[in-house]
Amino acid sequence: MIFFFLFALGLLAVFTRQGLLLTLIVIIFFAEGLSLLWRKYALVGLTYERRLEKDRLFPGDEVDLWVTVTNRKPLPLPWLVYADEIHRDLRITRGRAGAHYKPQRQSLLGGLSLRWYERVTRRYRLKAQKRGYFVLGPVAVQVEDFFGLSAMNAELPGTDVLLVYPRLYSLEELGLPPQAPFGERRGGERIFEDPSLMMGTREYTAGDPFNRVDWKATARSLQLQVRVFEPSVTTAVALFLNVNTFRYAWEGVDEERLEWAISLTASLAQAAHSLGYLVGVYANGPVPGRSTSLRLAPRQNPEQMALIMEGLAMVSGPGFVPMESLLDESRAELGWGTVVVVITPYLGPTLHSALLELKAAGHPVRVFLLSDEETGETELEIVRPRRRED
Amino acid sequence: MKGRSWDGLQWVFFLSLLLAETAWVLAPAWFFQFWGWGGGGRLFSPIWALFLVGLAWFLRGGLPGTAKRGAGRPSAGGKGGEADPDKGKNRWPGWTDADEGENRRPGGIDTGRGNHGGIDTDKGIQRSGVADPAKGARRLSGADPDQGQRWSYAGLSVGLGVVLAAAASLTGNFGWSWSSISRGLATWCQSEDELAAGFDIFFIALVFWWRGLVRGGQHPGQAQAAEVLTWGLPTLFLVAGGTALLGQLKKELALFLWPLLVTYFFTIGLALVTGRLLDIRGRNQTEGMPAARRWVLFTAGLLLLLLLTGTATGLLIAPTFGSGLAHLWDVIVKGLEFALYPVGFLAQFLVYLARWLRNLLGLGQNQLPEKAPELTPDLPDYFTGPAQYLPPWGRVLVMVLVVTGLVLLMLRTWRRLVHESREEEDEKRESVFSWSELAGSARRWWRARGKAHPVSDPLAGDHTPGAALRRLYRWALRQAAQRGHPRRPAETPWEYLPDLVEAFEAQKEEAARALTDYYVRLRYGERAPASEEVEKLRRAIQSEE
Repeated sequence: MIFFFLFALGLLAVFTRQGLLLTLIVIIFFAEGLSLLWRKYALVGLTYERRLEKDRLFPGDEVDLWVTVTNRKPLPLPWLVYADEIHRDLRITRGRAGAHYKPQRQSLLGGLSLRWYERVTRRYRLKAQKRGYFVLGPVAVQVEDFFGLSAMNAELPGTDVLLVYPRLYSLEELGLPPQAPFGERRGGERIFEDPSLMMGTREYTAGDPFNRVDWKATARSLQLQVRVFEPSVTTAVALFLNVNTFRYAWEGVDEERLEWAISLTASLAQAAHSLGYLVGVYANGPVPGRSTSLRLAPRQNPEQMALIMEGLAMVSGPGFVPMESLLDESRAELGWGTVVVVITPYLGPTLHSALLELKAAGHPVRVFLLSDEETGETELEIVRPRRRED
Repeated sequence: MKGRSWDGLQWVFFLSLLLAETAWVLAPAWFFQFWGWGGGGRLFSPIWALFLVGLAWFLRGGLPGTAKRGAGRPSAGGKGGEADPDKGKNRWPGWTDADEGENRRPGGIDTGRGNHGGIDTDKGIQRSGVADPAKGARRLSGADPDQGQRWSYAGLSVGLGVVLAAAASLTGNFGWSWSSISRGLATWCQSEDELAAGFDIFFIALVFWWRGLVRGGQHPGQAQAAEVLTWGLPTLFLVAGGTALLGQLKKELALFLWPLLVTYFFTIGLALVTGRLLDIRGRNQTEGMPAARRWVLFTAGLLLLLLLTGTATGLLIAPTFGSGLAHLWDVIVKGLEFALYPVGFLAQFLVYLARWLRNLLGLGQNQLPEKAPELTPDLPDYFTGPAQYLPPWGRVLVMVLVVTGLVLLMLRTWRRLVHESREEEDEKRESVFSWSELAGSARRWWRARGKAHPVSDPLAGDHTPGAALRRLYRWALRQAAQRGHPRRPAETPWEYLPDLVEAFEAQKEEAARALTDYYVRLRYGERAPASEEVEKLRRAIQSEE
C-alpha cells in the first residue's frame, strides 16, 4: 500500500519537477530493494562450525573453542549476530555470554561482518565447572541488511559434544587402604599360572619341572629354588552405582550426593584398574543416546577405562530401574568370584536382601554407603567413605 | 518494577527527543512569525503530532508492528516453553535474567544432553524452540545489564552538561524571550542555496545508513527511533507532497518544506546518534566489528546510496541525459563536500566550547584563534560573550557537568578501543574465494531461480509408491536434522524413531511410527505400501503443527 502511495507520489514529483521529493522516494525504493536482496540471499551459503581443542575434560579444566563462520556467496553480510547455545555449567571465560530462554542454557554471543567469500575464525574459551555431557549448539543467527530494514533469523543445525569426566579422588583421600580397597583379594585358582608375572621363589620339591629352577636364587641360598608365578585368572570388580539419591522417586534428586556417588564410582574404578582388576560399571541411570542404563561388564578391553569414564560422565539421575533389579539383571554377566561393589546413597530392605543373595552366590560384596543410615546387624561389609571436604 | 523497567539510558533518549523536538519545532514557528502569520506554527507542526504519538508508544512500552517483526523483542524465559506476554515488556533484548522461568524441579538434574534421546528435563522447551522462527531472535540476547546502566549515567551527565551549556549560551546571547531563542535556533537551520542540492541527500542518506549501523545494537531507543522514522515517513511524504503542490500555487509556501525536513531528520538523527553513543548493549552484541571497519563500511554504503540516488533522480528529472549526468556529478561532489563538514563542524565546536569555558571561569579574553579554518562553516558566535547571566554556583555546576561528561566519554571511548583490540587478537579472517566457487554460486543460482524450496514437496514428480516412501522418509530425516535431531550413521530406523518423534512433535508420533514401520518393511522386506497409504502418511506428517 505504502509502495503504491510512494509510486504515485513519485510520479507526481516527476510531473511537478519536485527534485527533493523524488529524491526521497528514490532513496526509499533503493533502500528497500537492497534490503530485499539481502532478505532473499543472506542466509545462503552461510555456515557455522565449532572446533574444540579437546572434547574430554575434567572439572576445572579449560578448553579452547574455535568458531568458524563462513560466507560462501558473493553477497557480503554487514551484520551477523550469532548466539550459540551452551550449557551453563560450561563457563565462558573468553567471549561474551548472554541469557538464553531455555533453562540451564546460556548464549555465546558474537557479532561480525563478513565480506564475500570470507571465513572468520574466532577463539573462545570454556571452563568445565561440573561433570556432564554437554551439547554445544544449535546456533541461532541473525543477519541484517545494510540498512537494518529487515532481519533474517535462522537456527543452523549441527551440534558438538563436550564430555566432562567426574572428579577423581585418590584412595587416600577416600580413606581406603591403597592395596585392598575392596577387601582382601582372593588368590584365585592356581590351575593356570602366568609365566610373565613372577610372584617369588620357594624350595624345590620333587616333581617340579627343571625349567622353573631359579639358578641365581639357588646360588644365593645354597638350596635349590624354583620360581612361583601369579595365577593367570584376574579378579574382576563390578561397580554398581545407584543414581537414586532417595528411596522414593517423589523425594527428588540430591544433586550434590549424586555427583559424589559418581565421583566415588569413577575413583574406585580407576583404583581397581590400576591395581590390575578387571573393572566393570553398572548404573541404573539414563545415558544419552542409549535406551538402556549404563552397563559395562568387566572386560579386558584396552579402552575399558575410557568407556567407563565416558559412561560416568554421561549418566544422570533419577534412575529408571531400581538397584535390586539392575543387580538381578546383571548377575548373569558376572563371572564366578567377581567382587560386587555397590555405591548407593541408601540401603533399603530389598536392596539389602538382593545383596545377600549375591553374597550367597559366591560374590564378595562390599557396600559404599553415602548416608548416615542405620543398617543394624548385617552380614554385608559396609564402608562409609569420607568425603574429601570432610 | 514489575513489567516495566526504565533506566537512565531510556530517560536520556526520551529527554533528548523531547529537547530536540522542543527546540526544533520553534523553527516553523519562527517562519510563521517571519511571514507575519502569528504563532500558530506550534499547533501546525506535524512533528508535534509525531512526537506525541511516539511518546504514547514509548510510554506504553511497545510500538505497533514490532510484535510481528519478532527480532529484537524480548520474550520471557519460558516456563515449560510458554511465553508470558507481560514478561519482557519494556525490557531490552537480552535483559531477561537467565534464571528467570527456569524449569526447576526439586533436585532436578539437567543432563544437558540436548538432542540425544533419553530423559531430558528440557524436552518440551527444546521441541517448541525449533518451530518458532522468532525464537532465533530471542536467543540473541544480550549481556551485562549493569554495564549499560552504569554508562547510561555517564551519558546523562554528558547530555545534561551539553544542554545546559547550549541553553546558557543561547539565553546569554539572545535573552530569555521565546522569540529571541527561536531566532537564535532558526539560524542553525537556515539553508543556503548552494548547499541545498547535496545537503538534503547527504542528510537523508546519513540517517538511513546510520539506522542500518545502529540496528545491530537492538537498542530500544534506536529501535523506536527507527520505528518513528518508518511510520513517520508516509506522514512526512503526505505533508511534503501537499506542501509541494501548494508551492506550485504560492511560492512562499514551499519554504516550509525545508525546515520541515530538517526538523524531522534532525530529530531522528539526534535520537539515533544518542542511542548509538550511549548504547553499550548494542556494542556488546555487535562486538568484533572494529571501529575502523565500521566506518569504512559506513562511508562505502553512503557513497553507494548517493550514487544510486543521484543517478536515478538525475536521469528522471533532467531534461537531457547529459544534464542528468551533470546533476549526478554535482550530487557526488556535494556529498563529498558535506561529508567533510562534520569534521570541520566538530573542530569549530570544540574551539568555541573551549573559549566559552574559558570565559565562564573568568580568565579573561581568550587567546584562541578567532576563526576556525576556512573549510569549516561559520557558526553563530554564541560562545564568546561574557557569562554574566549565570550565578557563580551555576557556573561551577555547568563546569563540573561538562568536564565530568567529557572525561567519562573519553574513558568510555578508551575502554572501547582497548576492548576491540583485544577481541581482534582472537580473530582470524581469510578469503575462501575462488573462481570455481563463484561460478558454482552462479550456476546454483541460475538453476534455482524461480523454483520453490526443494524440500517443500518431497513427493513432487512421478514416483512409484516405494520410491515415494523412500523420498518421504529422507525428507523426514532432513527435517529432523534441521530441527536438531540428526540421525547417526550406525542408527537403525527403529533406534532413531524416538528422535524422529521428538523432532515432529508429540501429535505426529503415530505418523512418525507408521513412516518408520513402512520404511523398514520396504527397506528390509521389499514390501512397498499402496500409493494411497504413502499419500495419507505424507499428509499426516506434513500437516501444519
